[in-house]
Amino acid sequence: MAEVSLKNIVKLYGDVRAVDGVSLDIHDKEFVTLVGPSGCGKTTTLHMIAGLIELDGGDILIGKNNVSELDPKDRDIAMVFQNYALYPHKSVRDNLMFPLRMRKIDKTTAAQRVSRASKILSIEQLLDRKPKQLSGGQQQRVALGRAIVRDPAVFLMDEPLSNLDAKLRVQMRTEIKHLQQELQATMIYVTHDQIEAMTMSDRIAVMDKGKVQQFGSPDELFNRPNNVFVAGFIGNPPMNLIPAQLVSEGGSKKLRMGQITYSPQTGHVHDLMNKAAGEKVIVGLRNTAIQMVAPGTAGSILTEVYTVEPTGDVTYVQTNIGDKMCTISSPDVAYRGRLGDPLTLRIDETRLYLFDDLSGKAIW
Amino acid sequence: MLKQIRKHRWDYPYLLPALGVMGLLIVYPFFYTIFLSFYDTPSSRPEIFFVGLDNYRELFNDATFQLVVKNTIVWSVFGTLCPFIVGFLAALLVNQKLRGLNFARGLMIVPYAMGFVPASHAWRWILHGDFGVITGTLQSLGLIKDSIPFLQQASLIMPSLIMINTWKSFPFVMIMLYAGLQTIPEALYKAARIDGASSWSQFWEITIPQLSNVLMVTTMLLFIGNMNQFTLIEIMTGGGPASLSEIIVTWIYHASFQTLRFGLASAASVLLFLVLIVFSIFYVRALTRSAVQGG
Repeated sequence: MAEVSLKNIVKLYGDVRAVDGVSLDIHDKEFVTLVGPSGCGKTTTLHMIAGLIELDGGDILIGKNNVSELDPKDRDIAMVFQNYALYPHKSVRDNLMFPLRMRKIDKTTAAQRVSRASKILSIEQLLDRKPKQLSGGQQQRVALGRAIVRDPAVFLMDEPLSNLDAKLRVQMRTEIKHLQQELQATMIYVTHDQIEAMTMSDRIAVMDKGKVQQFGSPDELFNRPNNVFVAGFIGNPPMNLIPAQLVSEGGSKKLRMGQITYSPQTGHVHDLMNKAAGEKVIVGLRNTAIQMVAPGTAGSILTEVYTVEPTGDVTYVQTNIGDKMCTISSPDVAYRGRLGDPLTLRIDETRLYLFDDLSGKAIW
Repeated sequence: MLKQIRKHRWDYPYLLPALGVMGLLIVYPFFYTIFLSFYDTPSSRPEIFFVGLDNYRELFNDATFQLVVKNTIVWSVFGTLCPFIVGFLAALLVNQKLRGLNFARGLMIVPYAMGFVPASHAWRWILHGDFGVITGTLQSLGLIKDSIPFLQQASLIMPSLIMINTWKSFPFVMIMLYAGLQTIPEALYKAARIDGASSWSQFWEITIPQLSNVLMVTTMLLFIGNMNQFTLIEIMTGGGPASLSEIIVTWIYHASFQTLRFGLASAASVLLFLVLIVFSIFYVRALTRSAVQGG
């Protein structure tokens, strides 16, 4: 196992900077996820680490070695692909054997490694089948097995769960996490699914437009997002982001969100407002930071129900705050308000975030 | 089943025209050829005479026919092998992501797009011993003194014909294999590169097994096409000189319409049919297997 360092790596496709100066230091035995929307550069970054895509700038170090110029086979990595990339004409056993055979590992050792990997993944009974005869989940296990037999320094995973159905995905998520801990492996995992990233990773790199927007633990990303993008990407439902203007009324600063002029009660929000560079800001509120309260509660704001979305254990209510559709959690799971029903909401100011409207950066 | 047939009884008449055409053009000539192969058909008389297996016996004892069979084997094997190798290499080439390959791909299809008749005539002139452009060029460069009789000299006829067939048929192989190569998922090569496979190993471990059905189908189509190749040989050499370039189909044509020995020609046709049906079975098997496996 080994640590991995990306030092200012760049990939250009014509004028497009697909990966734009990404730097990450990944510790030994760490589970790091690259997450972001389609086209953010996460898969390209992973393929650059694998050596499948050449670098246009920067360096990649695995352990102490600069591998930037090395072939994929010489980087001591194994990769699991989104569509598994199992060799269709080879049996499961031959698929697992293939990387060992290519590396001229003697047959006895190879057979032992295959047997160990198939035991870990419970695929011993599938060894003589062809990939076509396996279910998606089984194929995924074989793909993991092909990576495990190599005993590589780093595991690279390219959206390995996105072809599975929702239920299996949750199950395999747990298994991969468990596997990583059991093997004490350094794992770099790519996904567009922030829940996968949050549940599996030690640290997450949120990417957008070829850049790392924030690199930190799931808690850090959730509780201290660097910018509007991270705030809106991490968390389910995503953070409510309401454009607002700082206005002075009667000597104190207030937040004007559309028709609503909100007077913050706490020093925390006043501090944030004082630090804001311009008048235009974005107010960030998680769904749980907006509470439904009894009519007439001091400091509350009035809106109306747009829709109600019961999910079983939580009921979400959609409502317009300052011309922005926001999602809040109803304290009463059985709440079934109808379109236009009045809502009285109170903002938990300790959990209010402010972002600069121009740069999108968080104001701390 | 019977209920189904009764339910659709008014649908059946619609099949009749197609069945009629097939019967007239395929079934009748097929059985009539088998029938004729047991008869002698002297051109001087209107009747035909039953001769049993005499026609077959004559074929097996005829030295010319033995030469024709040998020619057919050489022609079919090398006429398949050469275009196959050139076409495979061309497919691998055009499958690369290189600049200008779209143009090259288009250019390489030209021989295939050209009809056999004009192509054969053109090549007959190109290879002509006295007026041919090849001989002419080599002579004006001072490389040779005498003309090269490509289509007259025994040792040059078959190689020349096979060369032309290669030029004419390799684009077919290229198109088929190029299509096959396109269906191999890129991820397999990526996985193989990470697994430590060299380019050579990737070719043998991924490309060839993934193409196996397309390779089989292409080879069979080419082979069957070559065994039935009449136009090119008839125009280029007419099977001559001295049957040196005669293959079974041209021999059948000459036996039928030049010497008017329909019985003997029919017997040869039946033999050719039996050989081709074996290859066709391989072909259909490969085709259905590739359909089942999705390539």
